[in-house]
Amino acid sequence: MSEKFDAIIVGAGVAGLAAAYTMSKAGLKVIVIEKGQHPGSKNVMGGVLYSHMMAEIIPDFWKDAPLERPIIEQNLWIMGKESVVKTGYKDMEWSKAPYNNFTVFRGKFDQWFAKKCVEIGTLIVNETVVKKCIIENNKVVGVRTDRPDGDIFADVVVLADGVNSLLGKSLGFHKEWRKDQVALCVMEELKMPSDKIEERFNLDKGMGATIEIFGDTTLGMVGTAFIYTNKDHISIGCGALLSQMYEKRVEPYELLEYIKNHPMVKPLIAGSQPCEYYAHLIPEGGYKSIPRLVDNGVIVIGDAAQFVNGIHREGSNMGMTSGRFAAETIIRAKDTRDFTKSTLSHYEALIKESYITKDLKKYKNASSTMENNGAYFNHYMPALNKSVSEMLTVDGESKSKKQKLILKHMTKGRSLFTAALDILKMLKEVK
Amino acid sequence: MSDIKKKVNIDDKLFLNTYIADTVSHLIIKEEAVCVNCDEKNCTKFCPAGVYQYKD
Repeated sequence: MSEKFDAIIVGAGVAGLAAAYTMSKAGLKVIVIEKGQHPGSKNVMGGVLYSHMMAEIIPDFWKDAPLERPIIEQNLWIMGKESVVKTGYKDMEWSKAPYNNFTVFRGKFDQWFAKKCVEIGTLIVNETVVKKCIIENNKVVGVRTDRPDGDIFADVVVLADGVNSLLGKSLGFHKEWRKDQVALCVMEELKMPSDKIEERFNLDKGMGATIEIFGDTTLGMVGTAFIYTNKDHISIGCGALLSQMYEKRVEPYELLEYIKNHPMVKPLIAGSQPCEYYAHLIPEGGYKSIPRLVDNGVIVIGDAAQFVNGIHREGSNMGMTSGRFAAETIIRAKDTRDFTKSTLSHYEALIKESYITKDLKKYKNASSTMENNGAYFNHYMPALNKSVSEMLTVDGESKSKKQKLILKHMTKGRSLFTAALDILKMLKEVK
Repeated sequence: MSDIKKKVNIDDKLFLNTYIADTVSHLIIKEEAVCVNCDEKNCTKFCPAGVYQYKD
């Protein structure tokens, strides 16, 4: 395989495939190298794929793609030990084109996406591991794979090799991620008949809902749990910064078992059958962890570039957008036959002007603020539950007395000033 | 925290897998001497697939 390509993409996740599709559509000669048996076979995702960013690559994809359910209701739960404060939003607008987001099984979806790429000329090679980037004269010129005679050459190599990005690390783009730059997530697929899912989640036929859970479900660790509806499965999972699991000595699958047995969750999933267990690291270092993105002949996209907004559980969208930007940059560079760092830095500019940098920047201190001040997860979230309980439990106490009690719950063990400051600080981090 | 120590059998969970895992582990301990002197043995704790075990 000594022929030369316009671009080699390492990794057939949604970021890599978005890049491949965009370049193939423009007539470039593209090869995608995937280590798994097929695209998606190594993929783990809670399951929410964003419509807008996917449609920018393949318009009207929902007519054809294997999707589980369009999400028409999104919920946020703040969990106490035996209580929960619920908020949510449901919108019928989301039940029709162009939709907002879908639950998907990446094993199926990525195969479909890959097939679309192949139809327009992308070459996809599965079960092949890229061992390293080939560097000549200070420029990445190709990759060495584990196949015999496995050197492949291209003008640009796109690293879409996921959270650990060993290739990015070997090029010195990033160091081994610190424990507070990655979240460890585990999830299960629980089988449940579709009509039962619709009954339990109060959904019209075929429609879906999501629940994001903060609070007791992560035992005070900075993290979240989630419940998503698929066609005839429920995805349930949880994740926390690795640094937090490390500190609290919690094993990830025990945490998941705790959540499944939580009194607020148990009835929702009762009678379902576990049929799959997954685990993965999620790059949640945010803005400050974004590695170097380009160099001579190389661009980094998706999880490998830490493009995940943990606060909003967005990631697939950023993966796809960054893949498209990388493709547009390479198409543009091809005009001048110049693939040096300075030309490819157009990609950095696109990322910077887009929602990716803007969103990650907005929340750049949110995780560390929550991690450094344990009160958010360990005090304020339980206190919120207690406060709502005060207001709604009818026990003969006057409402004005209850308001005083609420203030006491919120400030317990700290001055009113400290509590106000804590809350203002969090508002500032997410404003 | 002790209340979450409902022992979970990770082997039961992994048995469910239709996720395609490698048959040969890519995880190799380069130097076992390092593990002997490691107090916390985090890899035996946090690996979600329970890949690592420590036996004296």
